[in-house]
Amino acid sequence: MMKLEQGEQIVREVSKHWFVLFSKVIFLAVFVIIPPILYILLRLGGIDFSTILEGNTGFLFAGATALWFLIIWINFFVIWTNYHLDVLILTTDKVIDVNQHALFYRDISTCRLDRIQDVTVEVRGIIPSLLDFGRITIQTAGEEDNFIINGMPKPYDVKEAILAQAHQAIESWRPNTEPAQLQNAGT
Amino acid sequence: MPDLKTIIEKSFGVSSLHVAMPPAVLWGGFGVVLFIYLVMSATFLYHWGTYSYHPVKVKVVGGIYFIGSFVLIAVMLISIFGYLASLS
Repeated sequence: MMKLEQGEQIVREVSKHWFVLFSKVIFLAVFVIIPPILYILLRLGGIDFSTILEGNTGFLFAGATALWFLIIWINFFVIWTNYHLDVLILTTDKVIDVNQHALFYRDISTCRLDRIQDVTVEVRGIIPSLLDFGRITIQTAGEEDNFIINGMPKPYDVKEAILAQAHQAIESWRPNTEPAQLQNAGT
Repeated sequence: MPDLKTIIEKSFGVSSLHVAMPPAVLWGGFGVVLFIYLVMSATFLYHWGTYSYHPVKVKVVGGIYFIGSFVLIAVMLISIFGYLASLS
């Protein structure tokens, strides 16, 4: 869990679009159909392991298939965990981008709301347009790198939320800074 | 077309090939799988508990994960017992 500053609250937490997860796990479907295809091919080819192995080889095939599916099962949850922990968090003070690349490889980028200059949305392609997801680029002031977050669902809503929160944050800080600035200007 | 037994017998130069899978190999393999599974499960639990913002969602998904893997491990166990029983 992310540690927030005192008085800071999470406004919105956005996970990536479900299609991002789908596009990563769809290849597992290929591996799922390998055991039945192998079984059919062995039968068609007249290859019978019971001629060389003692005992009921059907049990061995069932056990090997279960092992194969267990490997796929664990792989699916590795992908799901990386997807689930890859989030964009909008707080009252900043935007936090958590990039979960692998189980033990994550990086966290933070940008204060007053440093945001512009937010750009890019929805490219048929599927992103139909399913309403895309890339959000947050341009920051100074030498900080821009935030680029791919696969964001409802990117225009997220953009509006970020800009509204940035505006609100700037407005709430202004009364505290103005008297000090005036005092400095007078001296 | 020669069958699998004939092909292997000719390749290895043996006259009568009919072997049993040793129980030690089966149980050893199962032990390795179980160890890797436990390590992966511990890793998942750590990540879900430490970094997730949705404890309820993680509990549901964790339940699905453990039920599914329990079924698959049970099938593996039954297969080993079934095969070893078929040898005797």
